[in-house]
Amino acid sequence: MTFHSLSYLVFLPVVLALYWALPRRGQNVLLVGASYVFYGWQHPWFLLPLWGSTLVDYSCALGIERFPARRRLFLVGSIVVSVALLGTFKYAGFVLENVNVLLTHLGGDPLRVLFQLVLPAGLSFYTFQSIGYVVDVYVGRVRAERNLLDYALYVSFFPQLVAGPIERAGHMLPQYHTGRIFDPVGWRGGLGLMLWGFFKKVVIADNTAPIVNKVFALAHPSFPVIWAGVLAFAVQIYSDFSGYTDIARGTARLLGIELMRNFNHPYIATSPADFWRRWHISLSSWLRDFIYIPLGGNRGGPARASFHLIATFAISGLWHGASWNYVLWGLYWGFLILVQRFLRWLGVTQWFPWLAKVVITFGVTCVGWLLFRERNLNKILNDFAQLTVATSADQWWVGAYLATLVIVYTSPLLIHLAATSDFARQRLAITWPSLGLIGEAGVAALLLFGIVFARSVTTSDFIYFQF
Amino acid sequence: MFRTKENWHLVIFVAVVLIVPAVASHLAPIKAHFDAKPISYFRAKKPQVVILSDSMVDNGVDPELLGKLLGGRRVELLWYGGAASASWYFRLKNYIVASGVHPELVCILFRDRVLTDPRFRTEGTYRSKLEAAMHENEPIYRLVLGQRPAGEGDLHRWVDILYPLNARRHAQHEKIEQTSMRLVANAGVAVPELRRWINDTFALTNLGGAAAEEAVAISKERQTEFDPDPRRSFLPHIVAAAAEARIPLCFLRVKRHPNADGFAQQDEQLRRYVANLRNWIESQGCYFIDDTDNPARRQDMYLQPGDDHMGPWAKERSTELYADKLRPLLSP
Repeated sequence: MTFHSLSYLVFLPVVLALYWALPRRGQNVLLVGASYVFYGWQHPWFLLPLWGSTLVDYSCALGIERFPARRRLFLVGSIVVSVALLGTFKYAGFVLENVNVLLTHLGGDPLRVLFQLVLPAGLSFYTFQSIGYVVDVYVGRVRAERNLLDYALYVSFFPQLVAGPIERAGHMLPQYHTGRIFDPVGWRGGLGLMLWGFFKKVVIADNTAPIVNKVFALAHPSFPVIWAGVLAFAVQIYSDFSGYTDIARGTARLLGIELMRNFNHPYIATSPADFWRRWHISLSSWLRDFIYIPLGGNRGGPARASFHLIATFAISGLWHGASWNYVLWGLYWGFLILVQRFLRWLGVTQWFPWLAKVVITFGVTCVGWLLFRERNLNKILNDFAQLTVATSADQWWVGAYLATLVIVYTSPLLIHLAATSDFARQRLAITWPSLGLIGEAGVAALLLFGIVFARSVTTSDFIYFQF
Repeated sequence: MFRTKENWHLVIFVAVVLIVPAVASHLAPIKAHFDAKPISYFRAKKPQVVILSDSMVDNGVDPELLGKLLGGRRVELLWYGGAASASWYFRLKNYIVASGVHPELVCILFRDRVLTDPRFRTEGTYRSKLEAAMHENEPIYRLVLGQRPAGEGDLHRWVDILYPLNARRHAQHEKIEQTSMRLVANAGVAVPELRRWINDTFALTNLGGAAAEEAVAISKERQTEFDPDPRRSFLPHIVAAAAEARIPLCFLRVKRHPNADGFAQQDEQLRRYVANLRNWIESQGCYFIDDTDNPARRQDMYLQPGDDHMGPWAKERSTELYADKLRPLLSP
């Protein structure tokens, strides 16, 4: 089931009505059941790897606490199972494809094995969340969860199961252990957040998606057309993913659960590192805590720290998808942060005013989005090879039109930025009056009207479902 | 549950959020106003031959020349780029028949399966042009297009009832696209020119391998057998509207871009479809002309490779070829 399906409009009220009529223990049972219904709605077999992962990591975490002498064995066992799940469903086909390319280059016969499994939605998210839990138990940050039901809820909580945020056990399990109180003020905030998330998805992301699809379908797009398409993709992927997160956080609030913030206006980042502090925060902090720091982090001198950084971002790229363009995208970001560190060491970064830093960071982010969106490496080279001088005037007009269309659809994001960002509060000294009940309701009604009025004629799945 | 002030505030909040957009949605017009101008135009011009089509006639037919070649008759073209069966039905019923003018012949120039693909080009940017020829209440529209596709149930219907503006989103998108186009045009380019460049940029022939293959796959999915069910096609309603007004009706299948040997590609399934279409149309007392195998319509008359439109250089010749086909249908 997806948030923007009409089935969800029935599913959620039914769950909420039952949920608030039950005591805490019953609430958790209901949530686990509802989560499995939500997740297995279209493909019931998706539940099998979810159940497998839940049971294995629950047992391994208990094993770590109960058998201290063999705790490393349980940790490795848990990680191996999680990586095997990912490897089987997500990477096996990719590995086989590359082995065959290598064999063909070496003059051998390709392996005649067909390995194309459907990737269960959200697999990368819940396996990372489970690995995080087991590692947290291993290092003593959290106690192993005794109650299988509560742990199953931690892994499967339906608002964040399919595309995050990738939560931490220390944040979520205490919420599942305590009774939840119906908070009407929290409900208003939750409903508003959900409407804003739906608006971003079905109005902004789904209306920019056709522009992106058309541009990236072209065999030889001109310079202005391809970069207008990249601009559209930057808007689409942000609206799509942050829209999903807002719906997830809003839904969780209706259930009395608080999920972490996953985005903080990433396109006003002033550096590549700042971008990753604002974009998909739950993944970047996970990678920092469970990959970068265990690898050695900043220790061991600049060369080793650089290697740790590049390796972490390569893994980040590979997490997004089993394709070389994602690896390239990850390496690109690692390289950008290295360049940023070097420039900061030289003292160059302080020469630039705030706006220049934002523009440059957005520019390099867009270059990254081209690597992310264009799967074919030859096409990536072709896109980068497009020169401005070789472009006819009509193509500049077409590019200008596409960019204008994107900017028109982006205007609600700009208003939201001005209303909610630190930038508006601190740099422009804009202070918004408290809206009060009617103001809040008016803004939410405007969002619903916007959805009714300008929702895309065609809709698509959330982009991050494929990861 | 509603004992505290906060709970009542939540009820007010939810009520405002749901009701205000519903009220606003009901106040807004749900379709474009009927454009009655073509009726008075027809009454003034009194055409003897009317051709309904899409962009095929843009370079394909010169109405003045065609009139001369048909014995000095007055010929009118009724078309826009992307018009299809729904549009032809409403234009025939609400303009030609409603005008009271009685042409000697109405001819519909169509491609392959368009006549029985009722949803083809009825949404998005085509929607407003379709609505302009529709009255507020069109039972045939509801019959053919009013049913939602399988899988979309009562909930969709309720959403449409509560928020009727939801069904008119295409018009907002069109406005947004036109506004963006005008904003760019203000910087020094004409809107029609810009529109042409955009269409040229995203033409099927410019798509990459995978996208082109996908487009072909989609077009293959539409390959259905001929079905004259009045609940699934505007064709029987077009025929009925013409018969009721006693207007002779002709369906002329245009020749798509041919190969170098002069023949347009068509598979067995399409041949079977066209044979069934011809049989049904002729059984209803209408004329059917298939120009597909006409060797005189050569490849060099077409605008560009893969394109079914005539080049401007071939307009005169193309008109002569159509005149040859239509002349036998008219009294001397």
